[in-house]
Amino acid sequence: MLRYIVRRVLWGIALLVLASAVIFVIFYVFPSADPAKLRAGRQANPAVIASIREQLGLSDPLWEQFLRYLTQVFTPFDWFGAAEHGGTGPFNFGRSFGSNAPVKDIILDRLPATALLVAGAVFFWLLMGLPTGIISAIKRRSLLDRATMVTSLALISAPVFWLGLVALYLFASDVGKIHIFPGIGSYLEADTFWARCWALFLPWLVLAAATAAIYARYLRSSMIDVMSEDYIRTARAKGVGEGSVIMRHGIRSAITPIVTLLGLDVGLLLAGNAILTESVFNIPGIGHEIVVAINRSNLPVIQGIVLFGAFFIVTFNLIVDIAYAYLDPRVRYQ
Amino acid sequence: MRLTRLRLLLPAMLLVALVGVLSSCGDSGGGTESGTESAGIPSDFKAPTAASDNAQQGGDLTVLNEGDIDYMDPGAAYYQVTYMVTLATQRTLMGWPPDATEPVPDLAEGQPEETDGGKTITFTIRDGVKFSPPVNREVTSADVKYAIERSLLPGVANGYTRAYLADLVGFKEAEQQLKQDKTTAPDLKGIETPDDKTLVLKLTRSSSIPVIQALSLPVSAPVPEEYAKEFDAESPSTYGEQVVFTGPYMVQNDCVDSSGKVTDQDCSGKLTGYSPGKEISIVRNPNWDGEASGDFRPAYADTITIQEGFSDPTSASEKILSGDSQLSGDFPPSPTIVKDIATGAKFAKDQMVAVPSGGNRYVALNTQEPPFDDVNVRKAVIANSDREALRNTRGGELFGPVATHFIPPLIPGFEEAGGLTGPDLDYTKDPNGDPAVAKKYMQKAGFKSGQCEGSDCDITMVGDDAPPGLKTATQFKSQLEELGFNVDFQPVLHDVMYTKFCSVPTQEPNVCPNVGWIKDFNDPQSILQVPFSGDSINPSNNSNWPQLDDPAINKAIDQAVTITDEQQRAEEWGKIDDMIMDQAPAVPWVWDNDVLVRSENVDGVANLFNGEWDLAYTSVSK
Amino acid sequence: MSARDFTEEFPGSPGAVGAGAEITEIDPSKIAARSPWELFWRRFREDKLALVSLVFLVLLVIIAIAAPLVIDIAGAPGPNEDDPNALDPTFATATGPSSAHIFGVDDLGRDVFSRVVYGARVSLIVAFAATFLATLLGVVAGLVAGYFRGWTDTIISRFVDVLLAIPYLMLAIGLAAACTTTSGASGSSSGCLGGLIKPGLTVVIFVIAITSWTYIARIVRGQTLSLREKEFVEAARASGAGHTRIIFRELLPNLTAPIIVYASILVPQVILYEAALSYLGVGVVDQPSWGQMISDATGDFTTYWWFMLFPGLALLFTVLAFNLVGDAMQDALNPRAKKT
Repeated sequence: MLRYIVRRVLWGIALLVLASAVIFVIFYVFPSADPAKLRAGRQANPAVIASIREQLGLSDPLWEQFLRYLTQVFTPFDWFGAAEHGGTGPFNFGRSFGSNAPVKDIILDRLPATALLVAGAVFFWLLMGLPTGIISAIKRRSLLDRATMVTSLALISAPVFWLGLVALYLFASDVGKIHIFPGIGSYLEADTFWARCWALFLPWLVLAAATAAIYARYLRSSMIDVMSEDYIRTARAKGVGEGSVIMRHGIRSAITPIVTLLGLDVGLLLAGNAILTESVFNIPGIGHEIVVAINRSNLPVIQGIVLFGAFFIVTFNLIVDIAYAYLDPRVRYQ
Repeated sequence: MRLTRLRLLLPAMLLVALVGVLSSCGDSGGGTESGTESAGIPSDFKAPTAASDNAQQGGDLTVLNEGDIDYMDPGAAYYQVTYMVTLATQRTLMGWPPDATEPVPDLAEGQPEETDGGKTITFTIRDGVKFSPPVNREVTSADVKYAIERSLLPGVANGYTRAYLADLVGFKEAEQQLKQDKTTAPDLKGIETPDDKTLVLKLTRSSSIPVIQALSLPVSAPVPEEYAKEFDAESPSTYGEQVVFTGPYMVQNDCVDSSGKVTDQDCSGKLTGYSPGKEISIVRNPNWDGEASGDFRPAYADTITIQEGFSDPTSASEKILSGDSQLSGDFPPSPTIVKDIATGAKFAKDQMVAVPSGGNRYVALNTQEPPFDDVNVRKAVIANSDREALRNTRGGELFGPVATHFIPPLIPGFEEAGGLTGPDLDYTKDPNGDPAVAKKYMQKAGFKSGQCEGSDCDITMVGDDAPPGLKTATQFKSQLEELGFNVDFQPVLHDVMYTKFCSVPTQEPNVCPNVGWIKDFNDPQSILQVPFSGDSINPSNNSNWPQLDDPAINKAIDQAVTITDEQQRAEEWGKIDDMIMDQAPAVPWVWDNDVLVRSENVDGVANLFNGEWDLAYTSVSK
Repeated sequence: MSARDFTEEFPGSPGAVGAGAEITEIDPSKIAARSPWELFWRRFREDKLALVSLVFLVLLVIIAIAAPLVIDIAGAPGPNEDDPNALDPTFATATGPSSAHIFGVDDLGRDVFSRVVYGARVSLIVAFAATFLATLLGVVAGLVAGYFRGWTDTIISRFVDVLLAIPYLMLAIGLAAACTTTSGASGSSSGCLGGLIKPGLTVVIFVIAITSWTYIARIVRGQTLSLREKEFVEAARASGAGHTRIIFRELLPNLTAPIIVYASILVPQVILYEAALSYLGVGVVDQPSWGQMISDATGDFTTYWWFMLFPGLALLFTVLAFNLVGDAMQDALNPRAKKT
C-alpha cells in the first residue's frame, strides 16, 4: 500500500511539472498585451520599455524563463536568476503585473471564497442528489422516479449561469421578485463568516441544483446494477430485510464510485470551474480573479492560478486513487 | 496666469445653453436641432462642486468600485480613478478643488513665479505640511525634486513625465544616467532646491504652462528620499507598498489604527489598508493640519473604504441608491437605472449626477493605408456615421453630447473650436449621418456609385471584445458596411487591442473604433498634442492612432505649446482642433460624461478635474 | 460544469474498474432475423420522451439551416439589423416583447427572436463539429494506445493525464485568447496552426475539441484493451491479418456502438461548454450565440428579462433533448444495463 502511495505521489509531482510546462507554452503564445508596454504608459520610448521588460525578466530566452519559474515555484534555490527576477521560492508564483502584489498572496486571498462556495454546494448537492438517486432506484419505473429523473435532467441541461440569473431574478432581495436571498455583490459586503454564508446561500443552491442531478442519476444506475447482482439475490434469499439489503449492500457498493466522482468534481471546481457561478454572483474567488487577470493580460496571475488549479486536480485525483486502492485492493497491483 | 472671465463663465454658460428637459426634447424628428441642443447635462443632474452649508464632520463613507486603482505609488498613478485616492491623500504642488478649472496652489504657497520669458518657474513650498507616520517630518523642496526624478525610473515608469517635463534642463543627461544605473533616481539638473522651501525649475523653452499644469498631477506629490530610496532600488519599485501621505487622509498602514491615531511608534510604514483588487481603507492622517498648512480641503468623513470587485453595475448602483453612506467609484449606472431615476420611477433624482469627464471618444481611421489615406473617403465615413447611435451604445443622452470636434467642454479652446455645434463642416452637421454628403465625398474620391469599390474596400478593424466597446464597434461596423466596405472585425481584449494592434503602427488595422483621449489637465495641449501630432508617433506605443502626420498641424502644435498668454493659447489650440477636423482623421462621437450615484444620506461633491466624487469634500448628512 | 456524467472509467484509476460499464456484444446468432440496428431502433422507440426529443432536434436542425426563411416567414428583421425605433430615444434602453418584435430587442436594438433562431446555428454547428473532432482525436488516440500498448500507450496515456490535470475551462479560455490574433492592416490572419484556425467559430470548435478528446480517448483505450484479447481478434491474427486489417475490420466495428453512445453524451456537454465560453466572452462573438446573448443581458437582466429568458430556454430545451436522446441511445445499446 505504501509503495502504491509513494508511486502515485511521485507521479503527481511529475504531472504538475509537466502541466506547468504545457501551461507555460500556452501562455507564451497568449497574445499578452505586452506587459512592459502596459507599465511604461503612454509615450514611453523603446528604451524604457526594454528596461522594464528586462526587469520583469521577459527578455530572457523562453527556456530560461520557464526553468526560473519552475525553480521559484517548487524549490528554494537561486537558479536561473531567480533572486533578481522576483525572488526565490518555494511557492513563489511571481508578482502581479498590475498591482505588484505577490501572486501567491492573491490566490490565497481568493481561495476562501471559492472554498466556501464549493463546500456549501457539495453539502447541498449531496443532500439533494443522493436521497433522490436512492429513492429513484428503489422505486424504479414509478411516476416519481420518472418525474425526478426528468427534472434533474432539466436542471443539468440548463447552463449554470443562466440558472443563477433566473434564481436572482426570482429571489434576490434587492432586485428579485420575491425578496428572500441576498443579491449580487452581497458577499463583498459581508464581514462575518455567517454573513458570508448567507450571501452564498443562493449560489450554493444554484451550483448544487446544477450538479445534484448527475449524482442522482449516477447513484440510481449504480444501485440498479448492484441490486441485480447475484450476491444481493443471495442475501434476499437468505431472508435479509430489504431495508438492510439496500443500506448495507446496495449503497455501500455504489458509494465508492460516487466518492471518486465527488473528489474529481471538487478538484475541478476548486481549480476554477466555479468561474461561472462566481461571475454571476460577483463572488471574489479564484475563478473571478482569473477572468479579471485575463482581461488585463496579467500573465503571472493567470499562470499562477492555472498551476494552482492543476495542483488541486492532481491532489484530489491522488486522494481519490488512494481511497480507491484502500477500498479495492485489486487496484494496487496494477 | 489669471483666470479670465470667459473661463469662469464657461461652465455656467454651458449648462444654461443646454436644454435640460429630458422628457420632451428627444424626438423632434431628428436633425441638427435636437441632436445638439438636447445633449449635455440637464440641470436636474448637475453635480454639486461645493459642500453644502451644513456639512458636518464625521461619518464613514464607502465607495463601490468595479476594478482597482492602477497604482498606489503616486509616481506611477495614471488613471482618473486613481486620482480619487490621490486627491484626498496627497498634496501636489498645484491642486484641484472640486470646482476648479485651473490648478490652484496646494503644496505651493501661492502661484509660482515665472521669469526669463517662461523658462524659469519658482515655487515656494508651504510651511507646516508634514508626512504621515512613520516619516513625520515637514516636507521640503528636495522631496518634490526626488518625486519627479524617481518617476523616470523604469521601476516606477510614470506615463506622462516624459510627455510634459522633457523640457527641463538636463533631461537628456538624466536619461543617460538611467542607462547606467536603473535603480537609483537620476539627478535632474533643471530642478534646483536653493533652500528647503524653494523649488526652481529651469526649462529649455518657454513651455511653462503645460509644465505647471503637469505639476498638478500626482507626480509632484512629495516623496522622502531617505525613506523611499531602498524601495526604489527594487525592480519594480516597492514604494507602492510603503507610501507616505501628505493629505488630510492616508491609506492605513502599520503605524495607525482605523481612527487615524498613531499606535505603533516602531512601525515600518507598510500599508495594511490596501488589498489589491479587494479593498482600500482610508483613514485620517494624524499629521495633517489643514488650518496651519493652508489646505483648501475640509475633510469631513472620518473613514473612507473603497470596496472593489463589483462587476455588476446594476446591482451595485441599486445597492448605493437604496443604501447608506455609499458612493459609486469607477462605473456608471446602467441605462435602465438611469432611466428609472430620470423618470422618477425609483429613487430621488438628485442621487444621480453627471460631470464632464474632460475626454473624448473617437473612431480612428488609419491615414497611412488605403482606403483611408484619401481624405475624401475619410470625410465620407464621418458624414455617413450615425454618431448619435454610437453615443447611445454607451447609454443615452446623459452620457455626453455628440462630439463635433476634439477639445471637450470646459477645456479652454472648446468654444474657440466651435463649441457644441463645432466647426462649419458639412460632414459633421448631422449627428445622425447624412448619406447625401457621404455620397458626394465618395464620388470626389473616385467612387462613382457613392459606394466603395475595389479591393481596397476589404478593411480590417480591431476593437474591444467586451461591452460597451464591443457594442460601439459592432454599431460602427454596420455603418461602414452601408458605404460598401467589407469589414473584417476582430474583437480582442482591451489591452491587447492597444499594445498589439492599434498602438503599434506597423500592425495597426484600418479602423480602431474604441479609442479616445482624456485630458491630463485642463489645457488643450493635453488633448491634442499626443493624439494628433506627427511628432508624437511612436513605433511601439503610439497614441496617435490615425497616424496623422500633417506638417502644417505639426508645426502649429509645436508652436502653440510655448504660448504663455491664456486667451491666445485657447484661440490657437481651437484653430488647431479645426485644422485637425479638416483632415478628418477620425470620427469623434462623444464628449463623455461621468455619471455618478450616491446614497440618499450622502452630501456628495464631485470634482470637475477627474470627474469623480471628491472624497475630501463629500460628507455624510446626519 | 462538473465532471462528466459518464458511467464507467474514472481518470487516474489504473484499469477499467467501474460499475456497470461493460458493453455486451450483440451476438447475431442469438437473435433471429433482426439486424442489430433494427433492435436498437425498437428499443429506442420505447422511450417516448426520447422520441419527442428526437423530433424536436430534427426540427431544430431544419430551423437552423433554414434560418433566413424562418425569419422571413415570421416577419422579423435580420439578426444584425438594429432598429433605432425600438430603443428609447433618450435613454437608449431596449424595449421588450411587442408586436414589432415578438421577443423584444437587445440593447443595440436587434431583434431577439431573430438572434435566437440564428443562435441555433452556432450551437448546433459547434456541437456537431467539436464533438466530431473530439471523437476523431479520441478514437485515434485511444485505439493506438490500446492496441499497440507498451511505450505508445504509456506516452499517450501520460499525455492525457497531463492534459487532464490542467483545468479545462482555464485552458480553453487561454487557448481561445491565444488563437485570436490577426496582424492588422496587412490582412493576413495568424490564429493557430498557421492560419488554419481562424478566430471566431473555428477557434471555439478547436478549443472545445482539444479539451474534450481525452474523455473519449480514455474510454476507447479501455474498450480496445479488452477487445484485443477476445477470440475473434486472436483468430484474425492467427490467419495472418496485419494491424490495419485488425483495427479496421475487427476492432472498429465493435467499437462503433460505444463510440456513438459516448459521443452522444458529449454533444449536450459541448453545447453547454460553448455557451459558457461565449458567456465569459471568449466564445463566439461576431455571430449571435445563445451564451453571448445571456451574457449581454447580465448587466440589466432584471429589466431586460426577455433577452435573458429566451436564449436560456433555447439552451435548456436543446440540451435536454440531446440528453434524453443520448440516454435512450445508451439504454438501447446496452440492454443488459437495465436502467429503466
